[in-house]
Amino acid sequence: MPTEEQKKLLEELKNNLAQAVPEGKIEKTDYSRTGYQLEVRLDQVGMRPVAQAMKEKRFYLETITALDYINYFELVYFYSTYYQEFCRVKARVRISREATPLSVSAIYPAAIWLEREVYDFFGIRFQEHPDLKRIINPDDVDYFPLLKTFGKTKFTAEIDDILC
Amino acid sequence: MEVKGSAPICLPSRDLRSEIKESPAIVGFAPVQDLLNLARVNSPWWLGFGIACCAIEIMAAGASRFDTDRFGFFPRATPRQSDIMIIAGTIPHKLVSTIKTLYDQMAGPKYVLALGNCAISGGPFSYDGQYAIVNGADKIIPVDIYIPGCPPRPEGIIQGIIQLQIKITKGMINANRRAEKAARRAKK
Repeated sequence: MPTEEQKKLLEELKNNLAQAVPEGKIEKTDYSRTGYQLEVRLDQVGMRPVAQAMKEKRFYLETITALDYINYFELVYFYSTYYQEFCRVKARVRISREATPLSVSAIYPAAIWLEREVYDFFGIRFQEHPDLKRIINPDDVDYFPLLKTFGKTKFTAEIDDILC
Repeated sequence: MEVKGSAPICLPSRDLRSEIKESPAIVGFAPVQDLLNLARVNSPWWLGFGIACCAIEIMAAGASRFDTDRFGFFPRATPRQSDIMIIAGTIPHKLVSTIKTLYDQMAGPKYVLALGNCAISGGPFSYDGQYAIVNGADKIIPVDIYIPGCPPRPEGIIQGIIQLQIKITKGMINANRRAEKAARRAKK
């Protein structure tokens, strides 16, 4: 059960986010079922205002990841805090396949590596990123392994031939 | 040549049985290469280099319960001083260049043990369409001994070392054991 302080924090957060991204859909969720208290659905423009609002409330960036929905991508940002009452917020950003979303690394420096990872596995290029290169896969490969089309095109033997 | 009272030492020459029948304590003669191999076989130092969970089993094998020091088998921190490279775990593609560099830095003669299923064939991570790992250490460097298991028990590692020693001396250790047995039988 959420405590009084937690409820207060959530209300404040909801108001701040509604000011920062008026077009975003903000809804409370059941923490015991989903693992986060607040969910924000956005389009590409709202990423930086949300990050700024989160930074002001002393949240840290937990992770960035992406989902491949074949027709479009969805970026997922998790923000959470333990400096005050514990709270976790999920921001879902829907982008088109060819989009180059804005980097939040100017606000959260931790995003530099996380965005490199998203680029490494999904091929999403972030605008204004200081050092966008591969982080986990070898530098010289030409595939993005977590795309839905990957398994059909590249097979183990081929990759062995390229790298070994 | 006879040395009375001393224990039999390594016997590399051929007709062991007939020599033993005559005297239990013998000094053997061997080509220089065999003698060098005898030195190598009693100090196989391995490169302290664990990639994945199999490294835990190497640590267990090196610690006091299994104590591979008694075979002269213990880790060195640098490839320049090592004779054996143990590939202990899954090899991701990004590690290939590192492993090749380490292998090249080791002074010869050098031997490679592939420890566990991942180092043998990719193990549970190998499937069609995977992008992350190499399907076996022998795709990148020559391997002498394969030790199966996921991970192998320390006993398995010790057996692997002994197999490697037998391989280095071209079976001399086996011959020595047979000779010791024969000597015991001759005493009776």
